Amino acid sequence: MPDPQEFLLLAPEILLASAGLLLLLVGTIGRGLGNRHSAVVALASLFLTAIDLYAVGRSVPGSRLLFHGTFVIDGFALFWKSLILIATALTILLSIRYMEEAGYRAGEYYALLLLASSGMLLMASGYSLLTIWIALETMALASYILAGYFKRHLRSNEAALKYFILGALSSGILLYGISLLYGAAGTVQLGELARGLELARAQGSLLVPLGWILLSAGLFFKVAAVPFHIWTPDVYVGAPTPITAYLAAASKAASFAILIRIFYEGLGTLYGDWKWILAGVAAASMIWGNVAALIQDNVKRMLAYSSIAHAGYVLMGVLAASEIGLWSVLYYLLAYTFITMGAFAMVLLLERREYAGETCADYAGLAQRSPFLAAMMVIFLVALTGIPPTGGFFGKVYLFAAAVQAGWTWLAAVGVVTSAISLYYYFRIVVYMYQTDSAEATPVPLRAPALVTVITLCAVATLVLGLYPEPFIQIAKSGLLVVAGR
Amino acid sequence: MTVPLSWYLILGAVLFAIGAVGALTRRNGISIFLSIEVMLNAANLTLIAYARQWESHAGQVVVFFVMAVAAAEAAVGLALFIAVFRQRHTIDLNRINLLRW
Amino acid sequence: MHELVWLIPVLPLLGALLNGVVLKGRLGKNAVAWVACGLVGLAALLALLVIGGYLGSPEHAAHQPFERDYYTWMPAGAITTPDGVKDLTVSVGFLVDPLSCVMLFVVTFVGFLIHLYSVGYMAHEDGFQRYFTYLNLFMGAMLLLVLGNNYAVLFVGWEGVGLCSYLLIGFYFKQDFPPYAGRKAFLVNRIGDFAFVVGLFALVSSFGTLKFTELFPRIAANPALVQGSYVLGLSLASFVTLCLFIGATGKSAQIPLFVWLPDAMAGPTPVSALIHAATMVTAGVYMVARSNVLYQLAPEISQLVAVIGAATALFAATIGLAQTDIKKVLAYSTVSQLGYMFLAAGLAAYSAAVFHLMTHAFFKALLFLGSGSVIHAMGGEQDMRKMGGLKAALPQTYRTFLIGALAIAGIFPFAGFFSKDEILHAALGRGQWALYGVGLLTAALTAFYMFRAVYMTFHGSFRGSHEQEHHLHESPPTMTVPLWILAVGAVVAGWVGFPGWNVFEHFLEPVILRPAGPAEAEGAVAGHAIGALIPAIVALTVAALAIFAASRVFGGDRGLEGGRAWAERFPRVHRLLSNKYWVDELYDATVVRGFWATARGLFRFDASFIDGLLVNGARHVTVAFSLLSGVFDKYVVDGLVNLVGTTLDAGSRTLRRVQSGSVGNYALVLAMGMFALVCLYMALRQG
Repeated sequence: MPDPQEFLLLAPEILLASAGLLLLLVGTIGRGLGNRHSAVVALASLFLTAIDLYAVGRSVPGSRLLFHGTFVIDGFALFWKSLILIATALTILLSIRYMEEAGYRAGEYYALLLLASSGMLLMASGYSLLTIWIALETMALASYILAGYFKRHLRSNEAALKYFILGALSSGILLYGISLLYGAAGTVQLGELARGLELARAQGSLLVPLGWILLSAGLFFKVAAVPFHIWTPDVYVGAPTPITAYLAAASKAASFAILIRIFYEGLGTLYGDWKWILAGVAAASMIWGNVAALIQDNVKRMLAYSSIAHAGYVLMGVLAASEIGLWSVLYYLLAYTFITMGAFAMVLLLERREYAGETCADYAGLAQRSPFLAAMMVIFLVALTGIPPTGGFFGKVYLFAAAVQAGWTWLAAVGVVTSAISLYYYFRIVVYMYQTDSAEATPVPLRAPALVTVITLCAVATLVLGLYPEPFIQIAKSGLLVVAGR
Repeated sequence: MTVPLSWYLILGAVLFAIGAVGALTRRNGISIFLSIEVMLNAANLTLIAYARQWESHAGQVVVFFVMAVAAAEAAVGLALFIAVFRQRHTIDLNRINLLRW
Repeated sequence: MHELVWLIPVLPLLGALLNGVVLKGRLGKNAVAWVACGLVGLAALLALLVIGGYLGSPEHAAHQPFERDYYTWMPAGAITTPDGVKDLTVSVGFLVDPLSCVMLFVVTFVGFLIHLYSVGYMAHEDGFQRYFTYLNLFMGAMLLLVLGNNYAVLFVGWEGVGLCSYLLIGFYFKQDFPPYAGRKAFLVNRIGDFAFVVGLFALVSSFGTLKFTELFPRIAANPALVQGSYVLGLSLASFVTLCLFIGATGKSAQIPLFVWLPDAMAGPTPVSALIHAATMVTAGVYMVARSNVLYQLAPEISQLVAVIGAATALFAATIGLAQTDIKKVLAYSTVSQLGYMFLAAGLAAYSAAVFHLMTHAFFKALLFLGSGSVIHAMGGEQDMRKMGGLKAALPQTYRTFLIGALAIAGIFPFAGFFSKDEILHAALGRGQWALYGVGLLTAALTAFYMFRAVYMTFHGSFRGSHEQEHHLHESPPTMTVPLWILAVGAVVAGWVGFPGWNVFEHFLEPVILRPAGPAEAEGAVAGHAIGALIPAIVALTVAALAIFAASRVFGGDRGLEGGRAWAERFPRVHRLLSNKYWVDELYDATVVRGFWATARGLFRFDASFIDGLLVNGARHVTVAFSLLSGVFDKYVVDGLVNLVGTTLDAGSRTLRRVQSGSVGNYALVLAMGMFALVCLYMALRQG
């Protein structure tokens, strides 16, 4: 029997999952809780989870393995868990008005968000391929439903269907990879896996490369890296916008958590093998994402491609496999969470009647209609491009610096050139906002205080990260991992 | 006489390939989904075979979880198919292409 | 008390935030003025307390600066410098030492007075709140510039004041010219800033730090660090100082980058007084004085600085002779006085440069505000030819303007006399006779054109319309009180540099680090009291003669009529010369006949030879060349640009096709991706 105290260390996940189940249960009783009440309950449970997480962080100074080494609590896990909680809270704030106007039951929606988030928290802590896979599936299954939550909308349920089919396919591939790695090393626990794989590789086992390639394909799918990004544009466009933001920020962050954990700790001894694959995928993502975004008119779709490109930038930092590489990845995703959330909040604010108001032309003359909103949008776009004084700038600078330091100069060059390309499509929106006249002259109604709060909050965070990065770099540095066997 | 390990592995690989080809070639949503289930079971078979070879229980435990997850996946998937079918009266995935480009 | 130094830039920035963002459009004019002036006033008060606190502190007694790092701004990570790998971090920190005390005092004091003055001046303008937002923002940036303890913070302030300058020059954005002038200022400054940044990069890559208190003592103790290594054929010291100086020529309007300053007068007059006379344009001088260690180790660049400064001083002064727009006169005189400061800095007389900077801030702000008062009374008229006899209607303005003019002309005991004398004396003391001569000539010209302006504006009879005459009135107290305060400053500010009793030079001594090694020829400058007397008398005499000459030409009702008559007789010559070099009014009285003969000859030569042959010939060549280059542009340059564009566009469209919308195809892409990964692995695996 495991030590009961170990359950306490997983209490944040347990708490969040219980809250989700509770909301689900209450939703079945009569008409259930209203939209606002559900949101408040969800936010409150997130808050309690955060407090609990803080307590856990305080009680585990270094790192600690739980349940026979299937879970781990360390600085790395705590960083991602905090980030996921922040992203989820922002998503809920984005959803309140949206769900009110959509006319679907809200209780299950927030319940599923909490369940998906509890899966993400477990992903951050997973230390065995089994627990990681289950946590991943927990997140994925909830996300499929959330993407199709507007079940009477053709686009929403088409997005969910595509997401489901491709997600299940990638999950099958990933699982087969796990089974092959298990065959090669005789274990699924990451620490032992690294040693076992090194041994098996020395014996020239064919299982090893086959296994990790299949496994990494599944991981690339989750972080939306080329060529496994194919689901991203369709799902991002079709899903309800808050969920798109959630997928782009929280889901991506959690997926990067397991990608880094698996590559560093489980496959660390194979660094010489996988670095080329990672480099190729990173370069392809940067190029494909940025080039394909060039002609997109739909802002959600453009942001989807941009998120693919950003996955490429982050993979470059992962690839550096150095201290600076890793903390710059963490720093970047921290900044990216706020930037994406802010950008999608802007999309939400301009959306009218479900899907209208998503094209670039809808931003025409925004500077005249609502100068404040236009300014906020400029901040996000500037940050996405990676121009100072925003968090996006420092994130990119550190990523590029890490890549150059680790000898991946050509990759950094690809990053710089594609960033320059990205300027074109990001600033097309700026041009629309500031230099085109609007069809309508009325200001955008700011009738959703929560939404405006999120936008302001994210803009401030973006700027603070760019003007005063030091403390956040320290936070990112608290979550470092070492590549096994290096 | 015992069945050698490689037979299980080859069977697993063949099942995985059949599943993959099915998922790529089928147009009906349910068929694709079933092909994916075949792929999951190929993984299960491989896991069990290796569990016996390594004489560890981990592989078998994984299989139990996979079966549970597969069931959950089926529930979600079929629900989605029903929702789509109600709107479009088809689950031919090649005709569900409102979202593209 | 000096611990509170961080608050000084924060206060005006807070004002900008309040007026520009938080309370935008919600305040009446009075409240806007209170917020803006109140916060700047507080900053000025605090600056006095900080200066007092520092002067009373043990650091000052020990000739040490007071320094605080507030936060790490950019932890840039490891960089490789010649002496090993260094951890480069750029922090935001402030430095209080005698030099920044002087700048702090000038900026906050003059800044506050100009804020007060603006309340009256801008009272009837649109965009009152916008104006004060920019002005406060400027104060914040300028204070950041003078207080920063490293080049990075200095540069932030440097760019910040540039931005505010741009915004304020183009303040009347509904007219055509101001936005154009703003753009011009911004672009010209950019050229200088580029060089500035290059200089900073050179410093970073050699020393791994940008902090003054880390850089300068190290370099002073071991000059070989910057004299031993070479960049592009120059010693590191020369390279860095050259780059920094090019930056300074942009910001401080020196040859060849001075062209923006005259146009910058398109902004409101108080802005010209604050930014384009008293503070921002002197940033270059401050920066050179701050980097004095480097300049002392680069004698050839110092000489260049001195020569450029002297040339600018003379050149601008000659142009100033011929301007009819009262603000243009002051603009060229600013360029000229800045040249004076650089002359001093180039002669390694840094304290003299800063001294002149300080006195100039007082009297030039005074003159600009005085001209503002005149323009205000004239209903926006800036042409001195339409003024005249204003001293009756504007007695306060007249008296203060006269004080300013006497100060800039260098008449004892006004401020300009002392600082100008210091500079001339430094030139003489270092045996630079040519520079001394140029300086003296410039001083004479300065006195002449300033009094030309005084006579044309305030003496004689009124030449404007009846409407304007009816409208003439003295400005309100919010405008005249700052004038008087500045007038007092323009009188007394020079006394701290009384020859033989030079408190000011002594005060700045800790900032001027003498590099180790052979001492410069400082001995010649000693023996001040007696040696200074003769050049001082010479300068005074020259200035007095120049003023006398001006009174002969422009005094009473003379002068204008003669000049105008000649201009009407030869309109083409008039047009030709009034472009930049319109000096006929000076020559009108001095070498009239000879001048006209020469001018006529030159004009014939010009019309027949230059226009006929060179210009037209050049025109044909240019047309042919531009046709050629047009072809080149169209087919080669545009072609390349379009090629990149088309390629990307086509790529984007191709990638879009992949996204067919069909799940079956998507699954195929996944499978092909897997296959690609395996291929990549097979191709690239090691061993």
